[in-house]
Amino acid sequence: MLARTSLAASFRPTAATTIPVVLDFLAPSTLQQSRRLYHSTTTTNHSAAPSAPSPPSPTDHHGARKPRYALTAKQREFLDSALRVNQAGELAATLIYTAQTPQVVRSHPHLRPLMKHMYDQEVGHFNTFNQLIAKHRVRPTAMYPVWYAAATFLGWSTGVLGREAAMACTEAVETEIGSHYNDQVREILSWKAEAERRGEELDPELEEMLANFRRIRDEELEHLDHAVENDAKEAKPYDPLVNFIRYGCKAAIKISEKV
Amino acid sequence: MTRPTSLLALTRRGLSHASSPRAALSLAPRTHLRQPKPQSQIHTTTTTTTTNPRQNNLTITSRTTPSRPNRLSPSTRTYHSDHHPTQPHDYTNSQTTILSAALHHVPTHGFSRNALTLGARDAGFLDVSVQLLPRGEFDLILFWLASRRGLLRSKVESDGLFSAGPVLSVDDKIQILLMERLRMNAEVKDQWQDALAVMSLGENIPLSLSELHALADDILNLAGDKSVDASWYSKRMAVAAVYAASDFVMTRDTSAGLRETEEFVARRWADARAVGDKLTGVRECLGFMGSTAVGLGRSWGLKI
Repeated sequence: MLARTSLAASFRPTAATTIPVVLDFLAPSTLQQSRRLYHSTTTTNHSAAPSAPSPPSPTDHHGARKPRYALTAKQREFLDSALRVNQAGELAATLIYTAQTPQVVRSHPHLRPLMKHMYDQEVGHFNTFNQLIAKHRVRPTAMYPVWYAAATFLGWSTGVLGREAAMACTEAVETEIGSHYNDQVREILSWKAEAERRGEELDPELEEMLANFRRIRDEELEHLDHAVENDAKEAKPYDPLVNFIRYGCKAAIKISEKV
Repeated sequence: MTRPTSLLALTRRGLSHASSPRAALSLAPRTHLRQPKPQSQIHTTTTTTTTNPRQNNLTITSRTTPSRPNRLSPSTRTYHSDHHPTQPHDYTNSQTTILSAALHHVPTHGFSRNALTLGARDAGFLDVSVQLLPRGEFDLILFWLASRRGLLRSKVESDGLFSAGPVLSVDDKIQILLMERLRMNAEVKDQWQDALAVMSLGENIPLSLSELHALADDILNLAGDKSVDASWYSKRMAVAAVYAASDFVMTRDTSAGLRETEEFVARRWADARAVGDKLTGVRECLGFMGSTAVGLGRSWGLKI
């Protein structure tokens, strides 16, 4: 039970809810949702979840100052490409929702709040990564105009195909993005474990980045949940559509890591 | 693996030029860096009395130094953070010492092997230790570029170039930084065309362009530019192009205080901005027409 509660707490979607945080996992519906959310992504989640304690508050470190964990050249390159990919991904996500919303809302007005909620969260993520890119002087992807056009087209075309296709598009994209964020969280956690083994600590920027990545991953997986609730699985050529989008996402991630 | 040439040079010359390296350069030698693995070690104290403590642990590596950087400095391209500072160049301690000393001979001897040899003597190294720098005079040029780039950064961050006076726009700051950087080159104005010729040799072009990009990147960063989209590329290209063109103009500029160069920079930067504004206008116009067409179609009931 202890493991389950901590798991539910760490994966609880941060959607607007009035229930106090501590009692959250006691509500059966929330528990069920977070469990489904946990299972709905790829298996890479399993290894990351148990090793994901809640990030320590920064006040913990002020007592005894440990030496800082120095990043190697390889780790810098990892962060460089990770931030570049994440910014490109969030750019695409905002554009997809922008292009989908008019068509989806036109035939299903009750989805307006949901689309707006998801769009607003994506804009928040995009701003986060824009700031990180500027702060850490990371080169943005050279494919920026290409992703701009491709994402707008993807959002528009799935919007034309109808609500189910639009939701299937969201499902496919968020599945890829969620597991991608999860890989990054696991990588930074492995640095953290190494730092602790050496008696060092990560700098506050990295800690903040880790917390941000986790929050954003959970929000993306929440979008995935919303998409499945709204009949993403009913999309007509479901498998070809979802597979096409997923492989497209994978290719875009690989390309954005390099250029 | 004792090298006969180095022993020969050691006995013949006996380290006559043992003046301590001057500390006029902004870049202190890095102390935390890994030293190249010494393959032959010569303790100069066995042959001559010396007043310079640095010579006691003088080490000389053979031509194939393992620490030779392939790219100029890979770390200047990736993730930057205040918690993980980066250096403007990747030269080792002894390389930096020789190069710093050699820069004092550049105004008289140019960017040449001669300046390097004299610099090595000044720093208390043997003549053969010039072999630490496999690219020869091009290493001297690269070190000049990288160290001036570091100096430009310290002018803004330590000396507060922009902290005094009125609040400047990003464009003004870019022009000021370009002029600051060009004024540094004015010290070696007479030698600079030769250096530009060396930089434009086929094998040197990649590193020269890499350094030019690093300079443009630094200037935009110091000016406070925060672009995170495709304009990141166009801005860096514009700054690099203006700098490269102005660099040529500067070598022929005889006016007081490089006034002609300053006017040239202002004109070129205004041109670059005009082109950028025009492109932005065209793009906005096309986007507006597109969204109007889509909106019109939707108002007619098309499912688009």
